[in-house]
Amino acid sequence: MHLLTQGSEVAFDELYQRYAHKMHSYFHKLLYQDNELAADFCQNLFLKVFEKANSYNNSYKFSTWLYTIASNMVKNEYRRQQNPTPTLFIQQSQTTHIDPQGPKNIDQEIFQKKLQTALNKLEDKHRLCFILRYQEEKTIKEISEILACPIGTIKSRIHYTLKKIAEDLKLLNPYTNRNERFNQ
Amino acid sequence: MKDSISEAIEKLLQQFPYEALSKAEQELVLRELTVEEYQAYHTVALQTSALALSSNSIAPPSPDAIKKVLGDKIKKQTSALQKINAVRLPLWLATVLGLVGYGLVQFFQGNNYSAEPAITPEIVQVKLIDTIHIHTVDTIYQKIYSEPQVITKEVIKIKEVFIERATPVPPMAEKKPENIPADQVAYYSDAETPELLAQKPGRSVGADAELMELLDNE
Repeated sequence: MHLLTQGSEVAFDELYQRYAHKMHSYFHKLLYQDNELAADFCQNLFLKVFEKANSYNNSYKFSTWLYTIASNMVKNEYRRQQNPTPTLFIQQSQTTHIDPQGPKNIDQEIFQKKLQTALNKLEDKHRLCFILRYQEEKTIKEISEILACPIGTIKSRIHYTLKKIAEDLKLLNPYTNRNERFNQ
Repeated sequence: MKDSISEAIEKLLQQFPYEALSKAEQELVLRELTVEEYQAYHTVALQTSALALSSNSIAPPSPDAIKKVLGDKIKKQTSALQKINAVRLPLWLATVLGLVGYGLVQFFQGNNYSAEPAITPEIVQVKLIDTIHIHTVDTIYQKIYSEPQVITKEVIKIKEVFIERATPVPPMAEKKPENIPADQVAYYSDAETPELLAQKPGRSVGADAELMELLDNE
């Protein structure tokens, strides 16, 4: 980071190599799987990192700082869109969703599509928390730092989201189905 | 119902189905969730992680576009070899310079030319001043023996007891005349003057028979 503050290209390349892929996919998940928008955000993020390198506090992890900037950018985008039409994003998610390993079975493919739809329908604050926890695999403490929220609030949001999605996908949840089958 | 689930349970449901938990873990889970809830949450968490794979496979944009935007702000650091290449001397000039240099080296070596200058011994007296800092810390332990000091405090109480006399002393008896001979002192003692003590002052003349008789005779 010290080299980056001096405008070192080598330092910039190193940071880009380490984090660009991760941050691009983060934007991709949060911006309703819009690849072009994610690419734009990723570029803007690294521009900001370069310009704000002086404001980086060494006592925090670099990735936390990076995710904080990225999350703020996404929040601003949500605000800019104000009331995004969920159906538009659902359509996008359905068309752009590509499983790199190929669908394992049709049930799972359908389940994942429904899950993606449910995720896109969530409130912004819940979606951010949930994606950071289960897709970016951040700890509760890290999420609280990134989103500048108390730990209790993050836990509450995660629990709420788990419950909400589980209820939305009740019929598709294989375990629930199995239980229902057992009950019958 | 609780607003949130504990971190321990949240970590478990991220990784394991309910059946894979130990007895203790199952008991822990059942304090906050039902088996159905746990399993539903586990499925959602697991599938959400799997869903991330589709986004993770997408390649990020090239950094060139960013560098273009940054322009002169970003410094290109190059290696020493690249810096030499950057000078870009004309090839013919580099060749000529190389040949001239090589020729000069050969010339000096061929003539046995010693480039070393004559050495004149010179004695230089250097005054050395040494400064030695010695820092020592001594710790002395002294044993001091002392006998216990015994202080005895003796309190003597003196009580004065005043005992009053049985009979009051007449003022005359206490006041001894100065010119009384030693043999007459007893006359004034208390024991021998009861009659005097019995006489009261202010007694009328008529009461004394002898005195009246004397006055009558005259």
